[in-house]
Amino acid sequence: MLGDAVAERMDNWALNDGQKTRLLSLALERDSSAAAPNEDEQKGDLLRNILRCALPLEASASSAAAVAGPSSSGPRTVAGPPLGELLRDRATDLAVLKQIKEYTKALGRNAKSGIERDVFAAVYFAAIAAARVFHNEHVTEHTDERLVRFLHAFAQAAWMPADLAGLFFQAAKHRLPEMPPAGPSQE
Amino acid sequence: MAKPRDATSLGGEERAFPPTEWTWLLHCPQRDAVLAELCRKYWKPVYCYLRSMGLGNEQAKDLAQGFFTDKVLGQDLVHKADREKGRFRSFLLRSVHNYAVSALRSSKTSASLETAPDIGTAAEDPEAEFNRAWADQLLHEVLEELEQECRQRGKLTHWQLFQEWLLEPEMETNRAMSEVCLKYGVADASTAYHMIENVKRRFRALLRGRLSALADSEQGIETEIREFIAVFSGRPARK
Repeated sequence: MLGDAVAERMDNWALNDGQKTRLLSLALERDSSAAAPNEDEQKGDLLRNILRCALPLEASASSAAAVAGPSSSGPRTVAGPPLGELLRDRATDLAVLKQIKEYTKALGRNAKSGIERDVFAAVYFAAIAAARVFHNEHVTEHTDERLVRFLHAFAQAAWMPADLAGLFFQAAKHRLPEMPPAGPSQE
Repeated sequence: MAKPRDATSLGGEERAFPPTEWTWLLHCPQRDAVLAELCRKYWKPVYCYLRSMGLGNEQAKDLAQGFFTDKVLGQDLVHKADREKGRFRSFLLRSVHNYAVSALRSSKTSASLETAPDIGTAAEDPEAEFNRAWADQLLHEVLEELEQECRQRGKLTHWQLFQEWLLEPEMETNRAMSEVCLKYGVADASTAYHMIENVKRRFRALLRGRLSALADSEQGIETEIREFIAVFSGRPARK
């Protein structure tokens, strides 16, 4: 029965009405300046917000079938799997990874702060890293040497979730069977 | 392709609002995914609503199951909906009500031939029960996500302090923060408050992020929150 699984999940918490009211009231408060997050925390927060979102419909419409492939697993919404899941799933279609890359590249161009720029760049490079590790594909005009430098830098960033850091490390170590000739970077 | 104003559409304080739940439901090409998502989010509220109408456990489960498979999927309920008439949650509630009334009429007709339907005592406000179950589920999901995130980020003590200070029943006895600090090895109360504030900020962002799929403005989110507070506190919502 569908509802049994839902009921089981709900049993993990036992809150009384006062606690629920208090929690909900938190969401109406303004952030306290005393608890202002530092830059790493802000980047970590923003990155997690992004990884939780699905690709926008206009960006994913052409590859809906690939996004919803049978090998995908984990939490899913009608909007499609979250970006974080797509980046971590070796079955994600290469075309979808390229869409993520292009999407975050466009977001990065319009970033309103250095924090946003760094975070969009992280997702952009994560898509490149996933293409490299899971599909043996070099989907960027960056030279291999330059790309590996970026991958190492993101892998070591304090605000990077452990699994994405692992993907960056893996991609930095990964050797592609055939590399395009090195040239000046245009990205 | 992303438009210029999409710059912060995925997160951050000034992000553009994502399409609302209606948009996803009406434009998603995968009907199975729509059904799975609706069941995940609304099965429990629908079940609670049916129970509060006076139905027994098994009958409410059967009717909820029937509603999602027959009505939502079988009759393509979502695409027949008139989104101008308001929130998706309210639309679903009306649909469940009509479905239940219709099903109960049929079962009463056949009751003379079989056993009487499993009907108990109706609660005072089935709609409030529906909203309560929905908000309950929302809070649980946000707390689970928050806990997982704290663990992943090496902030287990942050999470424990938050839980201790905001969720545990003992906090209502106004226990001294110094005791809590001692328990979790935190240097002083000021540090502990800062850590709790840090988690509160994240809770706020996660909850509001989820509600942004239901509302098209910050004001809309606050209205939703106030309505849920009213459900749990028994006070009428202030708009």
